[in-house]
Amino acid sequence: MTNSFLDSISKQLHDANDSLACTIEEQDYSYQSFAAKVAGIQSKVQRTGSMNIGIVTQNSMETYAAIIACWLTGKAYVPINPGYPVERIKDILQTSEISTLFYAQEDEQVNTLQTALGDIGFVETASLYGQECFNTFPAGDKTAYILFTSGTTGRPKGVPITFGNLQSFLDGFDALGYEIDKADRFLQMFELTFDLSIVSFTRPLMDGASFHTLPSGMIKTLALYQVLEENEITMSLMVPSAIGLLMPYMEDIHLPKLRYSQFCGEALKADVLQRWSQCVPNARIDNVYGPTEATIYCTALQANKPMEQQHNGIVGIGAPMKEVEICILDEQNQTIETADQIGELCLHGKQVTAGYLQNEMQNQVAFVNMDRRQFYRTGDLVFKGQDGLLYYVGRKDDQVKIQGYRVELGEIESAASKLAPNNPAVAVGYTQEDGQWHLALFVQDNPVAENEMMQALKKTLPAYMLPKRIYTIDQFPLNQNGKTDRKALRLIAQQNHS
Amino acid sequence: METNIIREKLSGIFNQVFQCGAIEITDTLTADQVEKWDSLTHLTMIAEVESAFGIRFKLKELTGMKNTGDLVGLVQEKTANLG
Repeated sequence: MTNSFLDSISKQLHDANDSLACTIEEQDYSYQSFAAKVAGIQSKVQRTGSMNIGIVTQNSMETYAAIIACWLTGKAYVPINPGYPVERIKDILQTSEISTLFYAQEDEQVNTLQTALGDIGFVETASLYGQECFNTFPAGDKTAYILFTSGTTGRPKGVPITFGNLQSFLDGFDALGYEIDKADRFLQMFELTFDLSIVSFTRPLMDGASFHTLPSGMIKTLALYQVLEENEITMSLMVPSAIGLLMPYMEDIHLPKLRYSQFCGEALKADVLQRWSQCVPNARIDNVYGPTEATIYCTALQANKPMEQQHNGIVGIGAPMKEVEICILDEQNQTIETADQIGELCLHGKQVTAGYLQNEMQNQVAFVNMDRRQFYRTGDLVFKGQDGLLYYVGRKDDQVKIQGYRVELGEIESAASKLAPNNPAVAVGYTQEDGQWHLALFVQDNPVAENEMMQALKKTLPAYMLPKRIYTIDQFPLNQNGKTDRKALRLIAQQNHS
Repeated sequence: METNIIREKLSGIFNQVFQCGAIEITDTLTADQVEKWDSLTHLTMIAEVESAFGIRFKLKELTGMKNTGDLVGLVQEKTANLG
């Protein structure tokens, strides 16, 4: 099986001219300069022994060129956020058997990593240039990237996505009817450990279009608005919270150049979308949904009439994409056939990963076989409406989403119990009036001072997983079933939120 | 309005929103220097400033604001226009 998306990118790089490939940190890069960078990095990637390459997620043209260089060479990339705790990075490198990290340029964080990871090779890409890149036509079952998501056991889970999975996603993307050409300008607002970044830079490169990242050193929400307007973005994929924060200033926003406005990663509020639709008078608006395990996103809803396509104020998530099959399971694992009945959304098809990396235990839990087909259990509760479309209701388990990242509360509790092994810890996610999610951690008779525990957690958990506040509690409230009453804890956190 | 009065009011708002303790409002102060200063708290702070001074910023003015000195200047300009 060939990957036509890589052929398309390869052709664009081969025919490279001075047309715009990307804008990063407010600097423009042509296809010519991008292609020369890919070619230079590719020769280094080729000489690297392992099949998986770590790439430090710096906001640089070199970082994106390194990803494309890995793919054209038939290797997988694993994004490494240098701001993550060293222990977490070590775990990721070990699980994905990475021996080399590519980085764009030295900075304080890279220097810290170099000191901490003595047995890992580091390759700087700033000075690498080459003549011609080449496509090795990787097979569809080879891994294209591995992303790590929050895991209940306290260890992150590696999700390997193959070239075939990614190709199926891109086929599904085009089947949604987006007509992309070289004049299109894509927004790329995501950190590279987040898979929504992948479509934001891959799809434009297939057609000689451009992608535009947010400048660092600016308040992110304001940088987002600036890039949308000044870079005349025509295709944007955003998390809903990004525009939620701009609500008080909606009357100042007018983006007539935007053709496609997609939302993903969090529940999308119908009233926010209604207001947004007035800012983007010429845009088709889509709400898309999907877990990392099913490659970027896998259901879509054209949502230009949000008030008619919502449930409890949350916009629906539409229908499965071309290569995706779904089923909704009840608590007895029976398929739900009737409309309006809530159950767990399960996914099958060419977009869905075969399983977690080196984690058989998790695979047993997360996948279910039906009619000799393997379905991924999303843990998301949905129902199919009378209109035949899917509506998101909530999380089946205790996972919550913070800034679009999936957080399993068990991972935070596990980190806390390492610091106070004899004191039960419960983490809860709660929302505020603005719809933002926050985390709170409750520890029974906590022997560790709250600020000390917070400092210690910072060493093992990424910033988005840190609780807003740690509470010491005499005894956990119990519900009627004698279980810890998480609702009561959420209420305490909400009332004491500041 | 005198800049020292503006700075004093801002200091109270910053302390309340960023939970940063007593902080000196210098012209060069930016989000990088304050731990809890992110998108959410920034826009909360801006809403507090608008309410405290009875003014309203435009989105373009917010994107053009590079540091606290710019914020002080804008507040001064807008409160002067209030008359």
